Amino acid sequence: MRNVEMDNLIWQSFLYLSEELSESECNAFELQLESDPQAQQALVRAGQLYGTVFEVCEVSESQSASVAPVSEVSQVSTTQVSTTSRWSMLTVVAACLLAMAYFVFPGSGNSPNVAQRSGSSSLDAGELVFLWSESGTQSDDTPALATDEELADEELAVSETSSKDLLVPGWMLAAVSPGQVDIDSLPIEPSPLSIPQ
Amino acid sequence: LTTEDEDRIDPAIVEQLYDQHAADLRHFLLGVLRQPGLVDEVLQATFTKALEVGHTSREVSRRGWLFRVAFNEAMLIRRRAKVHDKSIQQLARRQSDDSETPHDRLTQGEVVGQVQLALETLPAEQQQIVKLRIYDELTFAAIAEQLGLPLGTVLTRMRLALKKLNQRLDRNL
Repeated sequence: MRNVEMDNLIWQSFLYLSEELSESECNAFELQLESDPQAQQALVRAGQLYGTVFEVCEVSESQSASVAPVSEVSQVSTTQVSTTSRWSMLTVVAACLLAMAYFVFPGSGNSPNVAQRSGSSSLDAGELVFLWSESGTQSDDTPALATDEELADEELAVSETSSKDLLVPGWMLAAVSPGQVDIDSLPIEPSPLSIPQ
Repeated sequence: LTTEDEDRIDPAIVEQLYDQHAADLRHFLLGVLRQPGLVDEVLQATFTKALEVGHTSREVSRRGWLFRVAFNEAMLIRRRAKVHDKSIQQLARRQSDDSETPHDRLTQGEVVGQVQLALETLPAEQQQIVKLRIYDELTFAAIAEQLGLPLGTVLTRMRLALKKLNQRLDRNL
């Protein structure tokens, strides 16, 4: 009962502070405030509620203002993603163009000799193997990757074999020979191959 | 109401009013402002107003009138701060406020937190009205018009919300 009365007084006080009471109601409540300690207490409470709720709203507002709107964030990320994907697409297109140029204009490649020769369809297996070994020798001309010991071993191996003969396994010949070749019938051990001049 | 000048209240009466109500007004303003450093400033503004327009009040109900003037002055300051950079001002005020002890700050923070929780648990339609009335300062009639609701519905929702918020505040005081 007492709580209900207090609630009513707080409501009255709230309306009074908010200037929502009519003139007659306002006068009546002001008169009550002069003598009624409960009304005075209710007025203090109403003011406290008003101030606290205002502060809560203020805090919520400033918090929501300090966080960047979701739409802005998503816009930024979309822009970043689209920029990245645009660069990726450009890179892929450039790579494709380079590859196409390489095949259309073989002379502009890094291994002109190999490209020119492999362009000929009349290569025989021995020549192709020679080209492989040649390109392998070319790519091994990188001192930074090979130690002195490795180079010495390589020189020794070259000197041990005859100057013009290379040992080529049978499966390698089969791989580059035109037509059907029975791999099982080929020797596993390398066979000497004469290199075309 | 006036003695020397018909348009002005006697300063002696204002002094008397100060002696009678200053302590209660301080207590009241602390609740409204929630920042002790601002209480004296608002109290001074209230009695300045009393000197200027106190003659418009009725002698029999001057206490209520003073409280309402104090409330309006307090909310004026709060709303002015709201217009400017709110968070920075609030932070600066809190930091420079020597009269506020860490315990006060903690208690006030707890009260705000509890009221915030209570506000969040209110039905959305009640929350909306509370915000529109207290923070956006719309009258109940304007809220009713804006939301297309009968004035009675708006008042009932506000009253229910206030009751729940008061119950939550009660537990923390």
